[in-house]
Amino acid sequence: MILTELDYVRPAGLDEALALLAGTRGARVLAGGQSLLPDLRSGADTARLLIDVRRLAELRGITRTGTGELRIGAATPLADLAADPEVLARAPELAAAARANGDPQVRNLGTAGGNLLAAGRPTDLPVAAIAAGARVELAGPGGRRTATAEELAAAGAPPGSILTALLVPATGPAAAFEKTADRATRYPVCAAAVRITADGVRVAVTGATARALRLRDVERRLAAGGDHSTEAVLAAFRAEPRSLFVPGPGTSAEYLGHLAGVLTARALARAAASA
Amino acid sequence: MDISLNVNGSDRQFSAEPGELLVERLRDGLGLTGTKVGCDTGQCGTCVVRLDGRSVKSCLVLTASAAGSEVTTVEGLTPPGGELTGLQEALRQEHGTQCGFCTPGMVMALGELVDKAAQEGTAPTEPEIREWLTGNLCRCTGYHSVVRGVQRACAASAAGRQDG
Repeated sequence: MILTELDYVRPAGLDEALALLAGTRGARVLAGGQSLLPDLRSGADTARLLIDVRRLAELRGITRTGTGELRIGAATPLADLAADPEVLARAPELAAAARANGDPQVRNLGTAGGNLLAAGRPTDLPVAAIAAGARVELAGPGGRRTATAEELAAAGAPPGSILTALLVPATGPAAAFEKTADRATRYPVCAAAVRITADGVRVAVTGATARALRLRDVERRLAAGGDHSTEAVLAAFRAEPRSLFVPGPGTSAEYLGHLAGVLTARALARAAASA
Repeated sequence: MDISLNVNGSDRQFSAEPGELLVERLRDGLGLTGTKVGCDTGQCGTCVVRLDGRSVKSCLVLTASAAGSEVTTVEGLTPPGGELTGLQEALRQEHGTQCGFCTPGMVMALGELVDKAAQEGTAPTEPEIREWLTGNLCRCTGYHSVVRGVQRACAASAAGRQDG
Protein backbone atom coordinates (compact mmCIF):
# COMPACT_ATOMS: atom_id res chain seq x y z
CA MET A 1 0.00 0.00 0.00
CA ILE A 2 1.16 3.49 -0.79
CA LEU A 3 0.53 5.19 2.52
CA THR A 4 0.26 8.80 1.37
CA GLU A 5 -3.05 10.31 0.25
CA LEU A 6 -3.37 9.53 -3.43
CA ASP A 7 -5.82 9.51 -6.33
CA TYR A 8 -5.67 7.48 -9.50
CA VAL A 9 -7.13 8.24 -12.91
CA ARG A 10 -7.00 6.53 -16.27
CA PRO A 11 -7.49 9.27 -18.91
CA ALA A 12 -9.23 8.44 -22.18
CA GLY A 13 -6.64 10.19 -24.31
CA LEU A 14 -3.50 12.29 -24.33
CA ASP A 15 -5.38 15.62 -24.24
CA GLU A 16 -7.20 14.60 -21.08
CA ALA A 17 -3.93 13.42 -19.54
CA LEU A 18 -2.28 16.79 -20.30
CA ALA A 19 -5.24 18.71 -18.88
CA LEU A 20 -5.13 16.67 -15.66
CA LEU A 21 -1.38 17.15 -15.40
CA ALA A 22 -1.70 20.91 -15.86
CA GLY A 23 -4.66 21.29 -13.52
CA THR A 24 -3.70 19.15 -10.51
CA ARG A 25 -1.04 19.91 -7.93
CA GLY A 26 1.22 16.94 -7.32
CA ALA A 27 0.01 15.10 -10.41
CA ARG A 28 2.41 12.54 -11.83
CA VAL A 29 2.36 10.42 -14.95
CA LEU A 30 2.27 6.68 -14.25
CA ALA A 31 3.32 4.33 -17.06
CA GLY A 32 4.98 1.02 -16.14
CA GLY A 33 5.51 2.17 -12.57
CA GLN A 34 8.59 0.00 -12.09
CA SER A 35 10.57 2.90 -10.59
CA LEU A 36 7.81 5.24 -9.49
CA LEU A 37 5.79 2.74 -7.40
CA PRO A 38 8.73 1.59 -5.21
CA ASP A 39 9.73 5.23 -4.76
CA LEU A 40 6.19 6.22 -3.72
CA ARG A 41 6.12 3.38 -1.22
CA SER A 42 9.49 4.20 0.31
CA GLY A 43 8.74 7.91 0.46
CA ALA A 44 11.59 8.74 -1.93
CA ASP A 45 9.02 10.34 -4.23
CA THR A 46 5.55 11.80 -3.81
CA ALA A 47 2.36 12.13 -5.85
CA ARG A 48 -1.16 13.36 -5.13
CA LEU A 49 -2.61 12.08 -8.38
CA LEU A 50 -1.37 9.30 -10.63
CA ILE A 51 -2.35 9.72 -14.29
CA ASP A 52 -2.09 6.22 -15.76
CA VAL A 53 -1.08 6.48 -19.43
CA ARG A 54 0.04 2.85 -19.85
CA ARG A 55 -2.86 1.87 -22.12
CA LEU A 56 -3.15 5.05 -24.19
CA ALA A 57 -3.09 3.91 -27.83
CA GLU A 58 -1.33 7.16 -28.84
CA LEU A 59 1.63 6.15 -26.69
CA ARG A 60 2.00 2.54 -27.79
CA GLY A 61 3.49 0.67 -30.69
CA ILE A 62 6.50 0.78 -32.99
CA THR A 63 6.05 2.16 -36.52
CA ARG A 64 8.16 3.39 -39.44
CA THR A 65 7.67 7.08 -40.21
CA GLY A 66 7.73 8.60 -43.71
CA THR A 67 11.19 9.99 -43.02
CA GLY A 68 12.71 6.58 -42.32
CA GLU A 69 12.69 6.86 -38.55
CA LEU A 70 11.36 4.29 -36.11
CA ARG A 71 8.67 5.83 -33.91
CA ILE A 72 8.58 4.02 -30.58
CA GLY A 73 5.58 4.95 -28.46
CA ALA A 74 6.68 6.04 -24.99
CA ALA A 75 4.45 3.47 -23.25
CA THR A 76 5.87 0.58 -25.30
CA PRO A 77 7.14 -2.04 -22.84
CA LEU A 78 10.90 -2.59 -22.82
CA ALA A 79 10.29 -6.28 -23.59
CA ASP A 80 8.53 -5.34 -26.85
CA LEU A 81 11.30 -2.92 -27.78
CA ALA A 82 13.96 -5.58 -27.13
CA ALA A 83 12.21 -8.16 -29.34
CA ASP A 84 10.98 -5.99 -32.21
CA PRO A 85 12.45 -7.23 -35.54
CA GLU A 86 12.69 -3.71 -37.03
CA VAL A 87 14.48 -2.35 -33.96
CA LEU A 88 16.81 -5.36 -33.85
CA ALA A 89 17.74 -4.85 -37.52
CA ARG A 90 17.90 -1.06 -37.70
CA ALA A 91 18.70 0.15 -34.19
CA PRO A 92 20.35 -2.86 -32.51
CA GLU A 93 21.99 -0.75 -29.78
CA LEU A 94 18.51 0.29 -28.66
CA ALA A 95 17.16 -3.27 -28.57
CA ALA A 96 20.22 -4.45 -26.62
CA ALA A 97 19.91 -1.59 -24.15
CA ALA A 98 16.20 -2.31 -23.64
CA ARG A 99 17.04 -5.94 -22.93
CA ALA A 100 19.80 -5.00 -20.47
CA ASN A 101 17.39 -3.33 -18.04
CA GLY A 102 16.26 -5.04 -14.86
CA ASP A 103 14.73 -8.48 -15.31
CA PRO A 104 12.05 -10.00 -17.58
CA GLN A 105 9.17 -8.98 -15.31
CA VAL A 106 10.40 -5.39 -15.02
CA ARG A 107 10.81 -5.28 -18.81
CA ASN A 108 7.25 -6.57 -19.27
CA LEU A 109 5.83 -3.49 -17.54
CA GLY A 110 8.64 -0.94 -17.64
CA THR A 111 8.30 1.38 -20.62
CA ALA A 112 10.63 3.07 -23.09
CA GLY A 113 9.52 6.52 -21.90
CA GLY A 114 9.85 5.70 -18.22
CA ASN A 115 13.33 4.35 -18.82
CA LEU A 116 14.37 7.54 -20.65
CA LEU A 117 12.98 9.69 -17.84
CA ALA A 118 14.11 7.67 -14.79
CA ALA A 119 15.93 10.68 -13.39
CA GLY A 120 18.60 9.73 -10.91
CA ARG A 121 18.65 6.09 -11.98
CA PRO A 122 21.35 5.02 -14.44
CA THR A 123 18.94 3.19 -16.75
CA ASP A 124 20.20 1.71 -19.99
CA LEU A 125 18.06 3.25 -22.72
CA PRO A 126 19.28 6.90 -22.64
CA VAL A 127 22.85 6.06 -23.62
CA ALA A 128 21.68 3.99 -26.61
CA ALA A 129 19.23 6.72 -27.67
CA ILE A 130 22.05 9.28 -27.59
CA ALA A 131 24.40 7.11 -29.64
CA ALA A 132 21.59 6.45 -32.11
CA GLY A 133 21.07 10.20 -32.59
CA ALA A 134 17.46 9.76 -31.48
CA ARG A 135 14.95 12.48 -30.71
CA VAL A 136 11.97 12.45 -28.37
CA GLU A 137 8.49 13.80 -28.94
CA LEU A 138 7.06 15.85 -26.06
CA ALA A 139 3.45 16.95 -25.72
CA GLY A 140 2.74 19.88 -23.41
CA PRO A 141 0.25 22.66 -22.76
CA GLY A 142 1.88 24.68 -25.56
CA GLY A 143 1.64 21.89 -28.14
CA ARG A 144 4.06 19.30 -29.38
CA ARG A 145 7.77 19.63 -29.90
CA THR A 146 10.81 17.44 -30.23
CA ALA A 147 14.11 17.43 -28.37
CA THR A 148 17.22 15.35 -28.86
CA ALA A 149 17.81 12.38 -26.57
CA GLU A 150 20.94 14.20 -25.44
CA GLU A 151 18.92 17.28 -24.40
CA LEU A 152 16.41 15.06 -22.57
CA ALA A 153 19.21 13.30 -20.65
CA ALA A 154 20.62 16.69 -19.64
CA ALA A 155 17.46 18.56 -18.73
CA GLY A 156 14.63 16.01 -18.34
CA ALA A 157 11.13 16.65 -19.65
CA PRO A 158 9.70 20.13 -19.03
CA PRO A 159 7.12 20.31 -16.20
CA GLY A 160 3.60 19.62 -17.42
CA SER A 161 4.73 17.72 -20.48
CA ILE A 162 4.33 14.06 -21.41
CA LEU A 163 6.94 12.15 -23.38
CA THR A 164 4.97 10.54 -26.19
CA ALA A 165 7.55 8.83 -28.40
CA LEU A 166 11.17 8.10 -29.16
CA LEU A 167 12.19 8.79 -32.78
CA VAL A 168 15.18 6.74 -33.86
CA PRO A 169 17.02 7.05 -37.18
CA ALA A 170 16.63 3.57 -38.67
CA THR A 171 20.02 3.60 -40.28
CA GLY A 172 20.96 -0.02 -39.95
CA PRO A 173 23.00 -2.53 -38.12
CA ALA A 174 26.34 -0.74 -37.49
CA ALA A 175 25.68 -0.06 -33.84
CA ALA A 176 26.18 -1.85 -30.53
CA PHE A 177 25.66 -1.60 -26.76
CA GLU A 178 27.92 -3.07 -24.05
CA LYS A 179 27.39 -3.11 -20.31
CA THR A 180 29.02 -4.19 -17.09
CA ALA A 181 26.16 -4.54 -14.63
CA ASP A 182 26.23 -4.23 -10.87
CA ARG A 183 25.45 -7.79 -9.73
CA ALA A 184 22.83 -6.80 -7.18
CA THR A 185 20.98 -3.89 -8.77
CA ARG A 186 21.49 -4.73 -12.47
CA TYR A 187 22.22 -1.04 -13.05
CA PRO A 188 25.35 -0.40 -15.12
CA VAL A 189 28.67 0.18 -13.41
CA CYS A 190 29.30 1.38 -16.93
CA ALA A 191 27.44 1.00 -20.22
CA ALA A 192 28.56 2.24 -23.62
CA ALA A 193 26.68 2.57 -26.89
CA VAL A 194 28.17 3.34 -30.29
CA ARG A 195 26.86 3.90 -33.78
CA ILE A 196 29.01 4.07 -36.91
CA THR A 197 27.65 6.65 -39.36
CA ALA A 198 28.85 8.17 -42.62
CA ASP A 199 30.17 11.11 -40.56
CA GLY A 200 32.16 8.97 -38.15
CA VAL A 201 31.36 7.20 -34.90
CA ARG A 202 29.06 8.37 -32.13
CA VAL A 203 30.06 7.27 -28.63
CA ALA A 204 27.94 7.58 -25.48
CA VAL A 205 28.59 6.34 -21.94
CA THR A 206 26.54 6.04 -18.76
CA GLY A 207 26.93 4.62 -15.26
CA ALA A 208 30.57 5.67 -15.04
CA THR A 209 29.57 9.28 -15.63
CA ALA A 210 27.17 11.59 -13.79
CA ARG A 211 24.53 10.90 -16.46
CA ALA A 212 24.29 9.49 -19.98
CA LEU A 213 26.74 11.55 -22.05
CA ARG A 214 27.86 11.73 -25.64
CA LEU A 215 31.66 11.92 -25.64
CA ARG A 216 32.50 14.17 -28.59
CA ASP A 217 36.17 14.53 -27.67
CA VAL A 218 36.57 10.75 -27.74
CA GLU A 219 34.81 10.70 -31.12
CA ARG A 220 37.17 13.40 -32.47
CA ARG A 221 40.26 11.57 -31.27
CA LEU A 222 39.07 8.35 -32.88
CA ALA A 223 38.29 10.15 -36.15
CA ALA A 224 41.69 11.89 -36.15
CA GLY A 225 43.56 8.64 -35.55
CA GLY A 226 41.43 6.59 -37.95
CA ASP A 227 42.06 3.64 -35.66
CA HIS A 228 39.41 1.79 -33.63
CA SER A 229 41.72 -0.76 -32.03
CA THR A 230 41.31 -1.37 -28.31
CA GLU A 231 44.58 0.46 -27.65
CA ALA A 232 43.45 3.50 -29.65
CA VAL A 233 40.08 3.59 -27.89
CA LEU A 234 41.70 3.26 -24.45
CA ALA A 235 44.08 6.09 -25.32
CA ALA A 236 41.15 8.24 -26.44
CA PHE A 237 39.50 7.66 -23.05
CA ARG A 238 42.73 8.26 -21.10
CA ALA A 239 42.83 11.74 -22.61
CA GLU A 240 39.46 12.58 -21.00
CA PRO A 241 39.60 14.57 -17.73
CA ARG A 242 39.42 12.20 -14.72
CA SER A 243 36.62 14.35 -13.29
CA LEU A 244 34.33 13.05 -16.06
CA PHE A 245 34.15 9.68 -14.28
CA VAL A 246 32.25 9.59 -11.00
CA PRO A 247 33.42 6.88 -8.60
CA GLY A 248 30.76 4.70 -6.98
CA PRO A 249 30.97 1.93 -4.37
CA GLY A 250 34.21 0.03 -4.99
CA THR A 251 35.22 1.95 -8.12
CA SER A 252 37.71 4.73 -8.85
CA ALA A 253 37.68 7.31 -11.64
CA GLU A 254 40.71 5.58 -13.17
CA TYR A 255 38.95 2.19 -13.19
CA LEU A 256 35.73 3.63 -14.64
CA GLY A 257 37.63 5.47 -17.39
CA HIS A 258 39.38 2.23 -18.33
CA LEU A 259 36.14 0.23 -18.20
CA ALA A 260 34.37 2.80 -20.38
CA GLY A 261 37.19 2.46 -22.90
CA VAL A 262 37.08 -1.33 -22.88
CA LEU A 263 33.29 -1.43 -23.34
CA THR A 264 33.42 1.18 -26.10
CA ALA A 265 36.16 -0.76 -27.91
CA ARG A 266 34.08 -3.95 -27.69
CA ALA A 267 30.99 -2.14 -28.94
CA LEU A 268 32.91 -0.59 -31.85
CA ALA A 269 34.29 -4.00 -32.84
CA ARG A 270 30.81 -5.55 -32.79
CA ALA A 271 29.27 -2.60 -34.65
CA ALA A 272 31.95 -2.78 -37.34
CA ALA A 273 31.49 -6.54 -37.67
CA SER A 274 27.74 -6.21 -38.23
CA ALA A 275 27.98 -3.23 -40.63
CA MET B 1 -12.51 2.94 -6.32
CA ASP B 2 -14.72 0.29 -7.89
CA ILE B 3 -12.54 -2.29 -9.59
CA SER B 4 -13.34 -5.19 -11.85
CA LEU B 5 -10.67 -7.80 -12.40
CA ASN B 6 -10.61 -11.30 -13.84
CA VAL B 7 -8.63 -13.54 -11.51
CA ASN B 8 -7.96 -17.14 -12.49
CA GLY B 9 -10.91 -17.10 -14.86
CA SER B 10 -13.46 -15.56 -12.44
CA ASP B 11 -14.71 -11.98 -12.68
CA ARG B 12 -14.24 -10.23 -9.35
CA GLN B 13 -15.72 -6.87 -8.33
CA PHE B 14 -14.56 -4.99 -5.28
CA SER B 15 -13.65 -1.59 -3.94
CA ALA B 16 -9.98 -0.71 -3.45
CA GLU B 17 -7.89 2.24 -2.31
CA PRO B 18 -5.99 3.92 -5.18
CA GLY B 19 -2.69 3.14 -3.44
CA GLU B 20 -3.39 -0.59 -3.08
CA LEU B 21 -0.95 -2.98 -4.73
CA LEU B 22 -2.10 -6.00 -6.71
CA VAL B 23 -0.27 -8.43 -4.41
CA GLU B 24 -2.24 -7.06 -1.43
CA ARG B 25 -5.56 -7.59 -3.23
CA LEU B 26 -4.62 -11.13 -4.24
CA ARG B 27 -3.42 -12.23 -0.80
CA ASP B 28 -5.43 -10.16 1.67
CA GLY B 29 -8.55 -9.41 -0.37
CA LEU B 30 -9.01 -12.62 -2.33
CA GLY B 31 -7.17 -15.06 -0.06
CA LEU B 32 -4.85 -16.25 -2.82
CA THR B 33 -1.81 -16.69 -0.62
CA GLY B 34 0.13 -18.81 -3.10
CA THR B 35 1.56 -15.51 -4.28
CA LYS B 36 4.19 -14.58 -1.70
CA VAL B 37 5.64 -11.33 -0.43
CA GLY B 38 9.40 -11.51 0.01
CA CYS B 39 11.15 -8.18 -0.36
CA ASP B 40 8.16 -5.95 -1.06
CA THR B 41 10.44 -3.79 -3.25
CA GLY B 42 10.33 -5.50 -6.65
CA GLN B 43 13.58 -7.39 -6.36
CA CYS B 44 12.90 -10.95 -5.17
CA GLY B 45 10.20 -12.17 -7.55
CA THR B 46 8.16 -14.26 -5.07
CA CYS B 47 5.07 -12.21 -6.01
CA VAL B 48 5.20 -12.85 -9.77
CA VAL B 49 1.82 -13.42 -11.44
CA ARG B 50 0.69 -13.31 -15.06
CA LEU B 51 -1.06 -10.09 -16.08
CA ASP B 52 -2.74 -10.44 -19.49
CA GLY B 53 -0.34 -13.30 -20.16
CA ARG B 54 2.87 -11.54 -19.17
CA SER B 55 4.79 -12.27 -16.01
CA VAL B 56 4.93 -9.23 -13.73
CA LYS B 57 5.83 -8.48 -10.12
CA SER B 58 2.52 -7.95 -8.37
CA CYS B 59 4.15 -5.70 -5.74
CA LEU B 60 4.98 -3.29 -8.59
CA VAL B 61 1.42 -3.05 -9.97
CA LEU B 62 -1.43 -0.97 -8.57
CA THR B 63 -4.69 -2.89 -8.28
CA ALA B 64 -6.33 0.12 -9.97
CA SER B 65 -3.91 -0.12 -12.88
CA ALA B 66 -4.65 -3.83 -13.30
CA ALA B 67 -8.42 -3.23 -13.47
CA GLY B 68 -9.95 -4.73 -16.58
CA SER B 69 -7.08 -7.19 -16.98
CA GLU B 70 -6.78 -10.94 -16.60
CA VAL B 71 -4.63 -12.08 -13.71
CA THR B 72 -3.39 -15.64 -13.24
CA THR B 73 -1.86 -16.68 -9.93
CA VAL B 74 -0.24 -20.01 -9.11
CA GLU B 75 -3.64 -21.21 -7.84
CA GLY B 76 -5.04 -20.69 -11.32
CA LEU B 77 -2.66 -23.07 -13.04
CA THR B 78 -4.37 -26.24 -11.93
CA PRO B 79 -7.51 -26.94 -9.86
CA PRO B 80 -7.04 -28.01 -6.20
CA GLY B 81 -5.99 -31.65 -6.22
CA GLY B 82 -5.59 -31.55 -9.98
CA GLU B 83 -2.59 -32.54 -12.02
CA LEU B 84 0.50 -30.37 -11.92
CA THR B 85 1.41 -28.43 -15.04
CA GLY B 86 4.31 -29.76 -17.11
CA LEU B 87 6.64 -27.14 -15.65
CA GLN B 88 5.55 -27.83 -12.06
CA GLU B 89 6.00 -31.59 -12.55
CA ALA B 90 9.44 -31.12 -14.14
CA LEU B 91 10.54 -28.84 -11.27
CA ARG B 92 9.33 -31.48 -8.79
CA GLN B 93 11.22 -34.26 -10.54
CA GLU B 94 14.44 -32.22 -10.69
CA HIS B 95 14.13 -31.16 -7.01
CA GLY B 96 13.73 -27.59 -8.24
CA THR B 97 11.18 -26.66 -5.57
CA GLN B 98 13.71 -26.51 -2.71
CA CYS B 99 12.21 -24.82 0.40
CA GLY B 100 9.26 -23.67 -1.69
CA PHE B 101 9.04 -20.00 -0.80
CA CYS B 102 10.35 -18.70 -4.12
CA THR B 103 8.63 -21.48 -6.09
CA PRO B 104 5.28 -19.86 -6.91
CA GLY B 105 7.07 -16.80 -8.26
CA MET B 106 9.50 -18.94 -10.24
CA VAL B 107 6.68 -21.07 -11.66
CA MET B 108 4.76 -17.99 -12.76
CA ALA B 109 7.86 -16.27 -14.23
CA LEU B 110 9.23 -19.37 -15.95
CA GLY B 111 5.78 -20.27 -17.24
CA GLU B 112 6.01 -17.36 -19.64
CA LEU B 113 9.39 -18.57 -20.93
CA VAL B 114 8.15 -22.15 -21.36
CA ASP B 115 4.94 -20.98 -23.07
CA LYS B 116 6.92 -18.77 -25.47
CA ALA B 117 9.25 -21.64 -26.33
CA ALA B 118 6.27 -23.94 -26.97
CA GLN B 119 4.63 -21.34 -29.22
CA GLU B 120 7.81 -20.81 -31.22
CA GLY B 121 8.67 -24.52 -31.27
CA THR B 122 12.07 -23.79 -29.73
CA ALA B 123 13.80 -24.57 -26.44
CA PRO B 124 15.58 -21.88 -24.40
CA THR B 125 19.33 -22.31 -23.93
CA GLU B 126 20.78 -22.59 -20.44
CA PRO B 127 22.06 -18.96 -20.51
CA GLU B 128 18.58 -17.85 -21.63
CA ILE B 129 16.95 -19.73 -18.74
CA ARG B 130 19.43 -18.22 -16.26
CA GLU B 131 18.88 -14.74 -17.69
CA TRP B 132 15.12 -15.26 -17.35
CA LEU B 133 15.67 -16.06 -13.66
CA THR B 134 17.39 -12.73 -12.87
CA GLY B 135 14.16 -11.47 -11.31
CA ASN B 136 13.70 -14.46 -8.99
CA LEU B 137 15.90 -14.82 -5.94
CA CYS B 138 16.45 -18.17 -4.22
CA ARG B 139 18.22 -18.00 -0.87
CA CYS B 140 18.29 -21.78 -0.23
CA THR B 141 20.53 -23.60 -2.60
CA GLY B 142 20.76 -22.03 -5.99
CA TYR B 143 19.40 -22.42 -9.43
CA HIS B 144 20.89 -25.56 -11.01
CA SER B 145 17.93 -27.79 -10.25
CA VAL B 146 15.51 -25.08 -11.37
CA VAL B 147 17.35 -24.74 -14.69
CA ARG B 148 17.23 -28.53 -15.15
CA GLY B 149 13.51 -28.44 -14.39
CA VAL B 150 12.89 -25.91 -17.17
CA GLN B 151 14.98 -27.96 -19.60
CA ARG B 152 12.99 -31.07 -18.69
CA ALA B 153 9.69 -29.23 -19.09
CA CYS B 154 10.67 -27.88 -22.52
CA ALA B 155 11.90 -31.31 -23.66
CA ALA B 156 8.66 -32.95 -22.50
CA SER B 157 6.62 -30.27 -24.21
CA ALA B 158 8.60 -30.71 -27.48
CA ALA B 159 8.17 -34.52 -27.28
CA GLY B 160 4.44 -34.00 -26.70
CA ARG B 161 4.24 -31.84 -29.83
CA GLN B 162 5.99 -34.51 -31.88
CA ASP B 163 3.69 -37.25 -30.57
CA GLY B 164 0.69 -35.06 -31.28
